[in-house]
Amino acid sequence: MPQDQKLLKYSSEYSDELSLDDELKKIRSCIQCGMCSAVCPSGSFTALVTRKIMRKALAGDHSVLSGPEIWYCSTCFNCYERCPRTIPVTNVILRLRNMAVREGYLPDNLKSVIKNLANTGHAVPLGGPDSKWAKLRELHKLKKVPPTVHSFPEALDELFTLLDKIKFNARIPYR
Amino acid sequence: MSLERPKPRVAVYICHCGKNIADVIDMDEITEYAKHIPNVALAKNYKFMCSNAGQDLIAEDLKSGKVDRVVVAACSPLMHEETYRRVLRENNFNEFFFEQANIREHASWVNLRDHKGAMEIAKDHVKMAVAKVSNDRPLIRQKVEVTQEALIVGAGITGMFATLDLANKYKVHLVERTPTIGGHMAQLDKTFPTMDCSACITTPKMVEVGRHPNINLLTYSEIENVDLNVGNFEVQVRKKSRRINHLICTGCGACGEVCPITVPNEFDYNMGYRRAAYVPFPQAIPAQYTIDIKNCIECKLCVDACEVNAIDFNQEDEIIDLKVGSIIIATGNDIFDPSKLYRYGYQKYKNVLIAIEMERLLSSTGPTLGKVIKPSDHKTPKRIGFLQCVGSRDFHEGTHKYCSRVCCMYAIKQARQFKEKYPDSEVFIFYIDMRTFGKGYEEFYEIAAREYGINFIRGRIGEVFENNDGSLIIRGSDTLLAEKYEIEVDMLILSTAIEARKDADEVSRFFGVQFSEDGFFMEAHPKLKPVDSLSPGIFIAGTCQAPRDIPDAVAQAKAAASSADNFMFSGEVEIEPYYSMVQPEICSGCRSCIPLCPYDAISFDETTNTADINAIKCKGCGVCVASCPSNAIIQNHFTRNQILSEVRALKPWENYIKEN
Amino acid sequence: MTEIKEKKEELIEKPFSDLKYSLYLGCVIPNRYPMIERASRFVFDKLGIEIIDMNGATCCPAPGVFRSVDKALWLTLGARNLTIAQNNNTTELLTLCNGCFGTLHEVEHEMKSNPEINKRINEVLAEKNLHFDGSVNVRQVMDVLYFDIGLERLKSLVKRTLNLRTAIHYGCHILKPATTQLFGQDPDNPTFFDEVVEAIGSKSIDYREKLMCCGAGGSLRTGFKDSSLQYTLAKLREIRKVGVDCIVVCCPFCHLQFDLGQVEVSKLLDEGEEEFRIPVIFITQLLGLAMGYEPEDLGMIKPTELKGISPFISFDPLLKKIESIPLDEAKRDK
Ligand SMILES: Cc1cc2nc3c(=O)[nH]c(=O)nc-3n(C[C@H](O)[C@H](O)[C@H](O)COP(=O)(O)OP(=O)(O)OC[C@H]3O[C@@H](n4cnc5c(N)ncnc54)[C@H](O)[C@@H]3O)c2cc1C
Ligand code: SF4
Ligand code: SF4
Ligand code: SF4
Ligand code: SF4
Repeated sequence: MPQDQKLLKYSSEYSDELSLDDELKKIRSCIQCGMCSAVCPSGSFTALVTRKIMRKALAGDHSVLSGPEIWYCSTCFNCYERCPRTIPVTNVILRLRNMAVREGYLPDNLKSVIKNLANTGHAVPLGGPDSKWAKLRELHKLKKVPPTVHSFPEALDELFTLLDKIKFNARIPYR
Repeated sequence: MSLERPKPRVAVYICHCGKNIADVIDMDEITEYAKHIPNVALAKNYKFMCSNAGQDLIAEDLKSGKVDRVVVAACSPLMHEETYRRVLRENNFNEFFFEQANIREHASWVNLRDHKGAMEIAKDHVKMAVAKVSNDRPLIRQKVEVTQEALIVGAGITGMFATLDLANKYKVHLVERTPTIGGHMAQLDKTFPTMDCSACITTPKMVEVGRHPNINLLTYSEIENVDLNVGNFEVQVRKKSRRINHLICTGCGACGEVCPITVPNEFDYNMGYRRAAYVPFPQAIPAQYTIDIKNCIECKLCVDACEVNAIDFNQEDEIIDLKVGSIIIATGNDIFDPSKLYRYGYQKYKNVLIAIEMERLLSSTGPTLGKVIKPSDHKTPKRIGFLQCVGSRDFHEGTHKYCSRVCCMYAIKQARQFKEKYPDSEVFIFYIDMRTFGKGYEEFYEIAAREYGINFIRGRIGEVFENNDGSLIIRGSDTLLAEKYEIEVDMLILSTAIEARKDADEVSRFFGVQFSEDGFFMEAHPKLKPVDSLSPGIFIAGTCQAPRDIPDAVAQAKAAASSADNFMFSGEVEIEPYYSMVQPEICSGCRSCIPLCPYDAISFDETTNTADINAIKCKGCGVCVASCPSNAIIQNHFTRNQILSEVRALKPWENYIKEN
Repeated sequence: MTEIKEKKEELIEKPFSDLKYSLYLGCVIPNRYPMIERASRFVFDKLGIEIIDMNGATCCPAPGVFRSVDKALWLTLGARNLTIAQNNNTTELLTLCNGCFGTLHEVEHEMKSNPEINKRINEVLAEKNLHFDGSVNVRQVMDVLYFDIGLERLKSLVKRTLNLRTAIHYGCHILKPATTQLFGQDPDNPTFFDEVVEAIGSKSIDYREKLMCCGAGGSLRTGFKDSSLQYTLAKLREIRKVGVDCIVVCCPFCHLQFDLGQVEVSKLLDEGEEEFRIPVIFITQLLGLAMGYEPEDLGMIKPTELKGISPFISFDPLLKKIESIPLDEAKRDK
């Protein structure tokens, strides 16, 4: 069997989509100066090379969405502030994550947090009035259950209605 | 004889501009259209109207007596208005019976894909031009005599060369703000790409300027006031008091030796010291001393020390009145201050320098006599880095979008010099793109890598940290390897941007020159009038117009000198007749126009109690016309009626035909 | 006579009764770090600041996970939270968290500046008869201390000059994006946090990587915990080099990352490298201490009856040091 060719095929698919937004469109003016990757703390510890993400997005390289690198960003906004072309780099990464999720590349560890929010209203829930955290609240002379959605069932209903309205479950099944 | 003015007979010529226009706009359709515009006697199209054949076409029709006014629909009038006016002149028609409709920049180029839209716009432009030309009035250019003297402002390499070129023919006044001439070039050690010693080229030229009988050198002087009479500019110069009589001072330096006051020397970017009685550097021209009033404590030790009694504490500023025919502005550039780019640590970390400071350290006449030392411990660094594009190529506010054009080359130059002095050292240049575009420049770069072993690392540095011993950690990302790195160096040099002078707006106000978006002075046309300002008789050259290196600055100096010569040579100059006029019978004497005129052309006539416009100073900008509450000001060639006729031409075709 | 005096004291004790905020708690504070809630409520009460709870508020939603995953969800729930403050009849929404601030401030900004988004999100909210009318400003506790109270008045509140050596951690979303930041300071050279800490009598010790991210945000902690801890470790090592009494934060997620993180990074330490035990305190706790209040009132206790709860790093060394610092008045009397 002949080996698959490893040659890159350029496509403007991703950059066209990003360019629908006037700010994100600036990605087209990237000069690959490397400032974003130079100031990126994640790049010191992970495989994230922000500059390369920008280049791959411009080139239409599918691995930018399928690979884990975009998820290594801690959204510190260093790159966003320092890009000499004033490209909102962090926002580009966030948009690429949206596009990746749409194509089914959602990291597993995020799924439970999403479920938490969609089902309890908190990404980090208390865990009920008998949990150790509730007890800790009590020891701190606070109401056992905080006056958030945890204390108001009707607020939780409201949340469910809004989630249905934006058809969240259709995009990311959480039920 | 009828009292009615004869109906204008307009000839319309549509230019294909090769394919620039014709590819988008159907030539036959627009020609046919033009024929039906009221007042049009004939309409033709031709491949290149500006060619000799095209001009002949116009000339023939004019000679035939069939037409008396001309419209050319082509490129921008900035490009060829003069060409076509000449045709009218040569055929004994008043050249102001001409209008140019710009259907290239305004219609075809901007609508490459929308041919129908382009056609509509082009038709409107032609219609407007015909309406305007039908209402144009004959105008006559006034001539004024031109003073046969020139003024050059700024005595850097640009100002000096322009001065020397003109001085063989004219008397030239050279005004320089600092106590010496030479500008930035005098601060450089060697110059790329030839690596010849800067002083060896500059010093002889400085001496020549100082000695030339036709040059009136005014150093330590400032422009005080300018009256913008074209061809006869009246300029006041303030010659600041130096407390030393330069006619007597021999430059022996005895005063400097006894002066007890030491202050940082600006010429060395405050790295070295000078006395309050000083010359900025040993080869300064003039060689005579200056007492810096701000720092002098008036101990007067110098008075006794001076054997020729040149010191005069009663000397006052002197105001000198000049009258000149042309002016060249060569005020040069400032250098970007990177202290607000906090992550690079300039002025926070001791061993972070800017390139011009490094230039002084490398210079054999600098504060360290050419020894490169670290400010932290005065030892020679072993590893140094250069960071490129600091303040350039950055779209943030407070930095510059443009490329400064010289920093890639000067960084390589300094890196090579450093390596020559300290062969065991290591040098890194952190760059985005190496821009080495001039003659011999790429070769210069290649040798730096191959023979000198200078490390070129692609990627902008992100952060710099200082160690306790003053050494620096540089953190960046090698964009070619896609790897983050940390490198330790002893010293980091920031290749900072060339930027417009901080007082450029003051100079611009004095001389009525405009700015480009980047803050530099604006040339009249980027290609065709590169050293002309928009004010006739005033020229700009060197780094006050844009960042450039010495070869380019000198080329501009020579271009400006030749343009100034051209301007003065015939002894008289024609003034554009576009000036505005106050109709005294309508003027209410409210004076509101007077402060608005950017060229100071309006005065108040106390006898008639009306405003009065000096036709020679007026540039026809139209501000006063628009501002006059009594509608008392009219501007030649742009009268209310002429402009409104163009606006009316924009009415739908049927209505327009009916009304005309 | 005594009555009047008492009243007077009361007035001085509650000097900021003109200030009123809707308090947005978020998730981590009420559900993992209740000591922050306790300290903040306590200090606000002593200052006379009026605090109104935002009943029924949900997660902000967290800017890292949810903005990445689904912008519609992020905007909708963010805007819903804003309407709670609006229906409380307050114009100022106070967050104690950089992440919540990041989300709510950005959502506020989008809702106010982008008519398209405003229309779409309000259409969704209309399903539950909600409408965001733009009358709410999102604030952060640092910005309330810095602007609404101000450095001069903060100084006057100090009853016990602690003179602690502190390592300040700003966090990211309070500094960036700079265009919408509240302090008008360069994110590469911010000073407001240092100014506040110095105003209330402690020292801000500079350390390398001071402005670096803690590593928790952007879903990095959620998705790839070890990578996120690498950030924390890098910062902790620099902090250890300069030597401090405590780390001060203004964000519960950073707080968690430094507090729990010190335990978690143990496995990443080099051989022989000492474990980290640097107390982490929230800005309102430091303020309360400086105002002379007891650590317990500021939640600075470690209940022994529960396992695996915050704080994970003991306050003991810090408390011991504070115990030995007398009230300023007492010092003056001596
Ligand atoms: C670090 C560094 C290294 C460089 N190395 C090289 C090199 O090796 N080779 C090369 O080709 N180029 C080099 N350049 C570029 C070079 O310096 C410039 O091209 C050149 O100096 C420009 O000369 P100028 O006369 O136009 O301006 P300047 O040298 O700036 O001269 C302007 C003069 O006008 C005076 N002036 C300003 N305003 C007023 C006023 N209002 N009234 C009166 N006088 C005024 C100033 O005092 C000054 O004397 C280097 C630049 C830098 C920053
Ligand atoms: S900093 Fe900006 S221009 Fe430079 S590589 Fe990154 S995205 Fe491109
Ligand atoms: S926002 Fe993300 S990509 Fe940008 S510097 Fe921070 S961690 Fe790196
Ligand atoms: S007149 Fe203008 S448009 Fe016509 S050929 Fe010449 S340059 Fe081109
Ligand atoms: S010349 Fe080189 S260093 Fe200077 S701005 Fe241009 S690219 Fe950057």
